[in-house]
Amino acid sequence: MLYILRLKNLTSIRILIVLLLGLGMLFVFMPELTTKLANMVGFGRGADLILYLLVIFNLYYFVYTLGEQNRLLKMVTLAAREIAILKAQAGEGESLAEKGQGGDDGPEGRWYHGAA
Amino acid sequence: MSILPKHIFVIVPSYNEGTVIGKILEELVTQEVRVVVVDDGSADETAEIALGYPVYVLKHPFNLGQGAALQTGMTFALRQPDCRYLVTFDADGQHDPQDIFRLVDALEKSNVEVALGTRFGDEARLSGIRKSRYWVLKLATWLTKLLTRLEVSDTHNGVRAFTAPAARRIHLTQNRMSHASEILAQISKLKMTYMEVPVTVRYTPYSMQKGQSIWNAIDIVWDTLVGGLK
Repeated sequence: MLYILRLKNLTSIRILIVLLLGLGMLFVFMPELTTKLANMVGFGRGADLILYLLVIFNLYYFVYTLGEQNRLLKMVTLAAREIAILKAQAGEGESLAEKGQGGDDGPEGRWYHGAA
Repeated sequence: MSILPKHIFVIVPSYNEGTVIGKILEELVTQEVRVVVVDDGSADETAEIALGYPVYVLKHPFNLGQGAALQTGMTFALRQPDCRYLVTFDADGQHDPQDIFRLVDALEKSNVEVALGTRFGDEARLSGIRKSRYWVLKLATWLTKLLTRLEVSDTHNGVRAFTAPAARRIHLTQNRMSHASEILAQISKLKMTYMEVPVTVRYTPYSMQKGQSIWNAIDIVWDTLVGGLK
């Protein structure tokens, strides 16, 4: 359900922000407009309408951010995993390499970091 | 087909295990297995100590969690041409290296894709477990059974064995402790064949202190519910 609300590209997010800002400014300069709108949807006061909208927006933003955070964490994890594997395969056995014990080992070209 | 022992890759995720990693590696390197130590960005000497043994050492540039470390070890092992079996093994010294072969034997003989170690298979093999931990584990097991519909008796045991083709299908995305539930969830979803094998769990003061508490249990529920948000 939240996927529908997920804005895929940055441009649409920017347009949304500008629209929301514009709406906010409109409400500041014409407070009676919020009351009218609130009455239309059945709330008593314009301030209530704003509050409810704010709550909904905040919840959406919270969930969206969590999702983004998970997505980024996954990307970071994949990158870190490759770094770990590539560094090991490159024979970067720091401590033992210094002692001259690292590097390839055995006829199959298999590498160990430790003294085999 | 008989097992060619060096086809068994034992994956040891470790985070700040400097005080015990040497001891467990000493036990493991005497076995006919290949050992993959994944240092999950430890602040201590874990990786340096591991480098002193004939094992593969992979080091995360920063701490990502045990699940991520396991997946790194599995990804690496699966890229090695002679990898046929993968066994996960905790670094804190709570497992018995002989259980590696019990699990792999089970894979060979029963022709299943996954063998899961259980500490509840044979109550006599539990040494020194605390009452509170026993119930936390029972609760976790009950919850996981409910979520994955697998018939397992011990969902948070660190010893598991996979055939290489099975391991290839598993992709751990939960970086922290919830990977135990995630592995089971994927076994269930991918309809893998599995069995439980009783293993020994050695409760030492060290492993007790490192093990999971009720707080971890809350984290695991959170990760399972919120971690799936995309």
